Amino acid sequence: MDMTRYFACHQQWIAGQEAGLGELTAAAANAAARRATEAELRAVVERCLRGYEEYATTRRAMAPEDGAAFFAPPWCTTFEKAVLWLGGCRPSLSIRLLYCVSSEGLEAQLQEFLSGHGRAGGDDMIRPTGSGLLGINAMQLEQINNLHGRTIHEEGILSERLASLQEKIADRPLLPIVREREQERARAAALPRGSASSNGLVGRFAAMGLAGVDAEVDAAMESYTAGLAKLLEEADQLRLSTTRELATEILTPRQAVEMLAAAKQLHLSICDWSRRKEGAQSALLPPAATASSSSSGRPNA
Amino acid sequence: MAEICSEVVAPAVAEGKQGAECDAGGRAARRRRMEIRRLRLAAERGADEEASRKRRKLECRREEEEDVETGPARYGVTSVCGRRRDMEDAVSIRPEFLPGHHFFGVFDGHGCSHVATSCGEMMHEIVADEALSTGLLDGDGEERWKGVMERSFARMDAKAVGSRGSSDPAPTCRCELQLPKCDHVGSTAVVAVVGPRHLVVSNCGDSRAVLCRGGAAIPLSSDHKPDRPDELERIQAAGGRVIFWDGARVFGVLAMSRAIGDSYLKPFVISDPEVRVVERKDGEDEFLILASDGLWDVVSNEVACNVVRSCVRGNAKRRDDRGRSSPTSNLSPRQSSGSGSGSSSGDEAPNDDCGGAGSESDEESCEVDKACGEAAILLTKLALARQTSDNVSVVVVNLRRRPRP
Repeated sequence: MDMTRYFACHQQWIAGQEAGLGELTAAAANAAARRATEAELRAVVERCLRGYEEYATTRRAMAPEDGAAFFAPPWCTTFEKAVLWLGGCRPSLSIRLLYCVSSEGLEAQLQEFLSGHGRAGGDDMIRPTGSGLLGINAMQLEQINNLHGRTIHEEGILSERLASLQEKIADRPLLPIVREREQERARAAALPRGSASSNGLVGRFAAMGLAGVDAEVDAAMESYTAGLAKLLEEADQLRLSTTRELATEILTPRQAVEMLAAAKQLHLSICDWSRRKEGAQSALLPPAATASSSSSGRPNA
Repeated sequence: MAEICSEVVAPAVAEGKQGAECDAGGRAARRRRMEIRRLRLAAERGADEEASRKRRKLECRREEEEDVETGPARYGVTSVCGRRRDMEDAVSIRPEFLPGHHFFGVFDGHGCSHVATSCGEMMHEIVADEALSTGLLDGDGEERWKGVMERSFARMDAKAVGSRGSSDPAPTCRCELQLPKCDHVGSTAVVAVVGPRHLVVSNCGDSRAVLCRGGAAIPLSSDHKPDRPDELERIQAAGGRVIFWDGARVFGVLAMSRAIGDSYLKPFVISDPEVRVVERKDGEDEFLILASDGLWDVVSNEVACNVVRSCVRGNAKRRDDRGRSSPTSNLSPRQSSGSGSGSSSGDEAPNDDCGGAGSESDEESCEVDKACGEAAILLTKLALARQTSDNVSVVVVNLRRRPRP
């Protein structure tokens, strides 16, 4: 397990996110000022999605070595770890975010609309024609709602599988090994002091304690880690497919740019703020305690 | 689910329309038309089925007594899961579920979605059956409609309580494998029957129907909350208790005093609807809004009516701006009905183009239909913007009738 590689990978990903946010924000501003063509916006959306996909590919390649690391990543802050779902954001988060972002400014426009001053802005609201997220139309809302339902269903399936895997900790292959070792230890303790076999056993345990593992235990742990890696891959897949469907099949390119920009902004802000807060907290702790938490402290998607 | 129905022309309506065209001659003409109809009925085969016989009888009597038509069902509907993780709302729209009558229902489930889903699938059939076996006419008084609706709700309640295991579980139903009989599941029901002369609104629970008439927002149902004085009295008289636990709740559990289902809270929580029969007033009645509390929790009756009226006005303004010659080519997003999310709607025929080049009045009426759809989605978006935490279902029914040609 080479943690530095994970940290480097994550740092690179965050740097990419920051650059991507710049691009998306600029594109959104251009779209609002009608300075960008549909094709240009579509290209920005595609680059953003590619970024997510490449990161997922890298994670997929790394996860089999240590799937568990992605479920409680040392490179994330405590807050970030606490809100992770299967190594990343909940796929349904995109829809919740969309509902929030798409209603920004609605109240203000509504007042104008109700008072009868139907200028272009107010008109936008009920007659959505290639406008921003505020102009989500009936067909889009139907599609978003369908996607929402499917995503929550898929999340449920993956959550159930994680639950099974977590429960399996108390089952084969790990538990029989635990029991067997416990019996061996009890037998060893029952033997009279100074006997040769006792020394041998104690010696063996001591050696194992130093190494921390043996082949049998390794194999048992590996089976869980492999399960986690598989789940991570599928969860990433769901995150990607939800975002892709939303950004390329349901929303207009302009809306997609706005939504993706908001998602990146949220992600990077949480990253920043939680790191700052936890950095301040750990400054109050004795030096030994801070050593382990002074990571690059960035989340993954 | 989001859907705008510009126009639904069921066969019976089409016939009615033809009839209306030659109505100039008054009684004599109508009698002649009746004779033609009777002949046609006589010529039809398979008239031995009781229900269809009743239906025809009703149709004939209606024509004898009624001068007005209901017109096609025109409405907009949106139903979304919103901020919740479970979709427990169901919407049912059944144009011409009885000759000359349209059925609109919003059902907001709790505990699980299956009672609301059953209501969406069955309620209109039960109401139609009760109305037919009563020989009910639109012109009939409040009492008879009241009886029909009360019996229908009681039957629906019995079905909902016993529906586990019998009917197919809803695809979204969560409790499928958990309990053989889910006592802790129920649904609100607000049902509007739009007839030629009357609106019949029946309510059980905290969904709501609001009529916009002459610019005013008139609630046609009163939410069944456990702390409504008369409901509180009823619950206590039955030996129940209302406990304030995150709002007033029957035994601290259910935040409404009436519901379909919830057998474990009977007799305190009852399924009896409150029924209101309102005579339609042409020229004053604008539209009817049915919605679940996902809307009403955050949007007042008045604001909701203002939003719909502004949509109508906005459409009219655009039409005037555009000039009357150009056909309406705006997007009219129609969705396949009943897709996903536990919602269901009737077998309406899609008709996006508002019948093509119509008369001015047709176009105007068509714009109002569009406005209903836009209003439904705008109200939904407003509810989401105002942080509603529940599912949101909105039905906006256009009550303006086309002037007779």
